[in-house]
Amino acid sequence: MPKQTKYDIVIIGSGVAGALAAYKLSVEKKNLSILILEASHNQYSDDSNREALLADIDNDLSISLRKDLVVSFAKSPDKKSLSPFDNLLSAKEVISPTDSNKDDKHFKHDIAIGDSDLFKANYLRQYAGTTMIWRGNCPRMNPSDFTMQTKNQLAMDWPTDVVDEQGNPSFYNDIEPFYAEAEKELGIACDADEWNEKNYHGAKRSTPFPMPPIVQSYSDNLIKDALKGFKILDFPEYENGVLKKHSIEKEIVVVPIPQARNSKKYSNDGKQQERPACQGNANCIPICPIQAKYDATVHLNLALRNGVELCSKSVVYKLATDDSGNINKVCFYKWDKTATDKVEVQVEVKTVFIAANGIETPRLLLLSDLAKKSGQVGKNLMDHLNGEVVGLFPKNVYPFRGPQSTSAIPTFCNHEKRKEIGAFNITIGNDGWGKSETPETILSNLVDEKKIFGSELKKAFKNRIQKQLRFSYSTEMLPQQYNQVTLAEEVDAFGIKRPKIKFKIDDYSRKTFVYAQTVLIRILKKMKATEIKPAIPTELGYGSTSHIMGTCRMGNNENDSVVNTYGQCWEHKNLYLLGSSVYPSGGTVNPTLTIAALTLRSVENFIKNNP
Amino acid sequence: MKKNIDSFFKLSQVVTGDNGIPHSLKTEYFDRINTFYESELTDLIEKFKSKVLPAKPEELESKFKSEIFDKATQTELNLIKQIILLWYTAQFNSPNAQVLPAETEQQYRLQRMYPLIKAPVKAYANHCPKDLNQKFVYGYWSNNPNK
Repeated sequence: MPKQTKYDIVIIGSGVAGALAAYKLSVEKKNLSILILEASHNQYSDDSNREALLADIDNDLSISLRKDLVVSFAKSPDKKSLSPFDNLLSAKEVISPTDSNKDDKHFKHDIAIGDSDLFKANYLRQYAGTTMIWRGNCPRMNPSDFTMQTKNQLAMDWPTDVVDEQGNPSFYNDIEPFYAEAEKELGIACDADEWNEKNYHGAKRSTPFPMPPIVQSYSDNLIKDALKGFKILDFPEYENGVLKKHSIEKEIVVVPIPQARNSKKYSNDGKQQERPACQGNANCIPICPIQAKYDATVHLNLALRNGVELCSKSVVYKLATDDSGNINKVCFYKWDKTATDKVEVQVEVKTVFIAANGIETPRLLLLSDLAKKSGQVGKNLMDHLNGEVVGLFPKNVYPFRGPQSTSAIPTFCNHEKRKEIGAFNITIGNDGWGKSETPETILSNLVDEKKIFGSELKKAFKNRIQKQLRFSYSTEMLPQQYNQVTLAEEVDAFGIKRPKIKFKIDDYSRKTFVYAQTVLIRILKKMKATEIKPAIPTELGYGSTSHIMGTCRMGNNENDSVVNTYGQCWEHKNLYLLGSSVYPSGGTVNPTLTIAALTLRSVENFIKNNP
Repeated sequence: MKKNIDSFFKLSQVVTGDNGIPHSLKTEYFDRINTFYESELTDLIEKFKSKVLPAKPEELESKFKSEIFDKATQTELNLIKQIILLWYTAQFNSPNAQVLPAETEQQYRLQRMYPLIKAPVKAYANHCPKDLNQKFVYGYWSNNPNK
């Protein structure tokens, strides 16, 4: 139970945004009483471990708890992203993330046959949020991602008063110092010379990365050599029947990925919680066994040591307002063993930060009947559609060694035809063929289909797996009003209405999904790869990156947006929304670093307004 | 029983093609397979003992192929596959296709699949089998593991 009945600040959610906000506020505003409410729990938040963890400066207990999660993963049959958490009390009733392709878990799909697609994203409702199972890739969005309306007459620009050298609004310039701060907080390893303005579409950097890049894999270096000078030429333009130029003429660059993974011992505050360098456990998802990869327990521990209070197993179902529209109460169910033993609790509050995700944040606003003026709550739901193109490289590439990916091809994160076809990001896998063919499948196929065993099997297995290359791509989606989170009639284990999703992939996204494949098929052919799959680009088989964005967008006025540029709710001035729900457009890259930077920016704004 | 376990281990070496499968797991793995495929396993081991085991060590595989594998029924082939999967991945499928995962951390850690391709067992880079002859330290993934 919370220790007090009144708090200056309540933060709902303990993922990267909630953790970082709590930490920053605890440093900058030492006198504030701050409570984090977390719906679920895990070993790190259990009361039995909490106090000991806070006293455990050397992280011994933290390592031992992580070991429990690793063993749970090792003994699970399906080795899925949730496997480390199979044994948690709350695994079914509270964490309740969606299971890809299924509609029987947490949120409900609103499917009208022929008019809807499945929203395949997943998220983790537990202490430290989805950072417990993320890959750790942390590129910045590039400047063009923030100006889709100005440049391409699509979506909305991100609202800002900051201008670039030409006097044009530049959200990138606005957020750049916060990107730098977020990189320091999360501990990003990369090479600023590679992510320069030229390679990354005009993205200037004010600081180097806090750590040198994670060493690129053996296969990445083979790929780099094979693609040296290789250009993609598309969309020819003719004048009087003579080829004038190609609208897209791009040289492929292979660069190390900015990632929240240590290339050396690192501590974000230079003092506590020094975490080790990556050992290449090849298991970033679902769990890094040594915490070389950042997760939000880092900032939660720091915040709690600074006096922030945590109340886990606390499912918020309503925010109540006073006569002026400000939030004055947070209502939640506190549970212990299961949802059925819940008790109702209320706390009074001066300011609320909702740090949930693109589904849970609008769900809570809808449940509370808040922020209705713009009509935008729940709308513009986005993801990055994801797919992979695979092939066999002519030489051994020795996959499954090191982080699951160490390099990216950011060449198409912006391009000249973005008005018609979206941008996309390419990541080079370091894990064989990923979902397309697992090592277990290879073994089974060799025995069943090739009818081999013994040394012949061993040789064939090695020969196939060691040449496997995988490129994954995540594509831009546009915000669309009809892609929406609403409330379902069905309730969850707590009796709270579940979120309902309506989702349709538009032509822009479909074209982008196919175009990304055409590029990757050419890249694989250039490398003389064989068994390229898909051999022919297809609209079928889209996956999800689980980058849930939109649904409470920020904007310049209260008529077409839910929050202002700082995530402050237009209608409820003491309510801030943190996280990717405020994105007006989605770009192509993993959202976590931008979520962290936006959080730091929102907190700074709050502090300015509340000296 | 002891004799069958040793024969099971020998059979496992032949079907996996891997002499590095861990001796320490032979009883556990015999029991795991035996629980679900008792009569089939008994038959397979008896055949193996009578038709293959008398051959010279370097001829075991070819003998197994001609005397058992090429003549195997679907049931026998499936059992052979499950034995291979168990040693390679620490898990196998029951007759009704249920995946039976590693029962202990040690079983998971000693799976052979990743060591065979010079990779660490996922999440256990710092606890690798000794015969892998590798040191998994920061940056190892940028090197050719054969050099």
